[in-house]
Amino acid sequence: MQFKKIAGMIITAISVAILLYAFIATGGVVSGIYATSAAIAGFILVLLGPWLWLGDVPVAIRKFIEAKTGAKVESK
Amino acid sequence: MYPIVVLFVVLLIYALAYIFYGAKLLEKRVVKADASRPTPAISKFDGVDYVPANKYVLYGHHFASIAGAGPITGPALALNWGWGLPLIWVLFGNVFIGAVHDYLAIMSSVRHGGVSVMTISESTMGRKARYVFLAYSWFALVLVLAAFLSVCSSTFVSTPSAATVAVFFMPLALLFGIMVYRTGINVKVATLIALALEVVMLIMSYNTKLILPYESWVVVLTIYGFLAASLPVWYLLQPRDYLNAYLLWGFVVLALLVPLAIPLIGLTGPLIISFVAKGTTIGAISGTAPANWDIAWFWPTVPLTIACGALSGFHSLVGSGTTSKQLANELDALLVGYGGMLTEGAVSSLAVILPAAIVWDFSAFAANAGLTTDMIVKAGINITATPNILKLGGIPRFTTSYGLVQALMWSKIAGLENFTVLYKGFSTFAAWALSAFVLTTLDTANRLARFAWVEMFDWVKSRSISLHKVITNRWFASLVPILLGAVMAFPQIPDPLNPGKNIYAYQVVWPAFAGTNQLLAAIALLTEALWVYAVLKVRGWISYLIMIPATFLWLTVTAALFVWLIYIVPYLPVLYIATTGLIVGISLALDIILISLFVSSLRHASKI
Repeated sequence: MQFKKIAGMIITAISVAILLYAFIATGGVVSGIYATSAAIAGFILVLLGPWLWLGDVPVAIRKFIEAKTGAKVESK
Repeated sequence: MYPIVVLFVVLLIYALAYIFYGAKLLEKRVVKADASRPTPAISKFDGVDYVPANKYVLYGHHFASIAGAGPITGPALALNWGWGLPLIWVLFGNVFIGAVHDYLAIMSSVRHGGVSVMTISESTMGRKARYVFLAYSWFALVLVLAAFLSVCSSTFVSTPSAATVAVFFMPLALLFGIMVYRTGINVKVATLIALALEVVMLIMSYNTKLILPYESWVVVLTIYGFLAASLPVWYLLQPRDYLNAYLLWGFVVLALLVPLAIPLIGLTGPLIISFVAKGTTIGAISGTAPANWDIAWFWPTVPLTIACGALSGFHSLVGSGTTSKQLANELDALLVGYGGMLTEGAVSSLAVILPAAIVWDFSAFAANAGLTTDMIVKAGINITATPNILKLGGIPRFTTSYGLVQALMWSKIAGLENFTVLYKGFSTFAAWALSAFVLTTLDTANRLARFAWVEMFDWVKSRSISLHKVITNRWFASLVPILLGAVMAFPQIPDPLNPGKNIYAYQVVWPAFAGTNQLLAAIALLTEALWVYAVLKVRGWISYLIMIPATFLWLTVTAALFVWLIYIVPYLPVLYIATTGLIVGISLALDIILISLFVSSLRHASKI
């Protein structure tokens, strides 16, 4: 597995954990320095983590394009 | 007049327009859409921006992107003319201008390899027009970014549960994308799972507040806007907008149910108050001209007040920007472009104007609805200070009237004793819908600014490939506009119009946006009309059906800009004259240049 994918997987797991922490640990009202920092960090990281982990063009899209154009699509 | 009559008339007009004007005329006789012709999403597939999308996914994206705060705040402000005149303008503008403009923007872009309508103008009006148009649009997009960063941050501060919905919505959208694209789960099953989770999230968010100061939200949304505009469309934009469309459709369907549930409740609002509204409410500045001048004439200033609900230049950027690059089949464009615009019109007409017409006079509404005025007061509305909705600001007019009619409808099932709770719930839901519209528009606007930037610097490629690569790098091109937007949304300055009050920096130029945006619509529609005439060679009465509305729009917007220049700008404080006034002046100058290019191109085309 590529380093990028492993890093993405770890970032995804951490971001989901800290997002949940921010909301569960504060009983629903996320305020204060630690809880809001966690929520925001989780929000930003959760956008990046899965992209690094699963960011290749999906097979379904690739096959659709290949069927339409007849040319092979390179994985990005 | 009853709500059920308004609903019937609106739906009938939209159905007839979609079938006869959209499908039979534009699709079959003007554009001659062809399912076998490869679209840019396929022929220029790059896995990032050019990616084919399912037509319902793309419809969700297009609708959510074109519907910012405009279809809500514009008609709400236009209620100063009464509710009938704004409704007529929304219907007329939608069918004959807005939907035509959006559909042709998509199709002309598709036929030109997915480039923007600004670049297409080169083929009809020449190279100069193209760069003028591109620079103008890029600047307008930076203004949109500043405004939406500010509006979204303010909404999150005033309704922290809306922030919770936005933050939790992103992982949910990503999860949906992973389910469909990675695990191969059927789209219908994945949709059901995601929607069930979405409902749970919405219920939980009602009492879950994410509290941050305004400045922090601007920073967070800037980072979000930057990332969302750079990441591949299939990764975040498509699944997010697909799911978002359900939230927004839920919002529209709830609005549609009202006239069915309370079909014969009397409308308490006046059909027409006056063709000249009191004060100088045009765009975003009021009360600036001398007090005895009432210059908010319905014509020509209505398109500056009601933008997205009827027509908007921003739509041509979306249509020829993100949408055309994701269209998998030319036949999908009618639903996405023409249908998307009609749906947005339904938001204005049925979710904003009709509820306002029902609850206009709070005491009369209470009497019609079988409520006591005490129940309205308990819901938090001060009937003495605000006896009618005109005493409220733009967005509160919408959230209050939407919340009240929904509470009335559902209290028939849940019991009148729950009216107050229902009102608070639905007015919060209205705020969520508004922030969902704004957030999707924010990152789409940044992506569009990136496209405009890349097209603006294409001439560098022939001189230095490496420099061109740096300038047009997608991360760099996404960072520049959102940073400029943030710089204008962040600092507060003293407002010369209201001594003692502060405004955000972008607000000194924002009033000009109403004019620049609609001028963009007029120029885009003229470009499309010329494309139909000169490139598609459509002549005779069909070409007039596009040329006449385009000319009417251009005349209207130009007249409105002159009203601004003569009656408003000279009476503004110096700071506003140097900013808003300057932009209005520049816009009019560009307007004259572009129309002269249009006329000479039309003459040339008519000889061929």
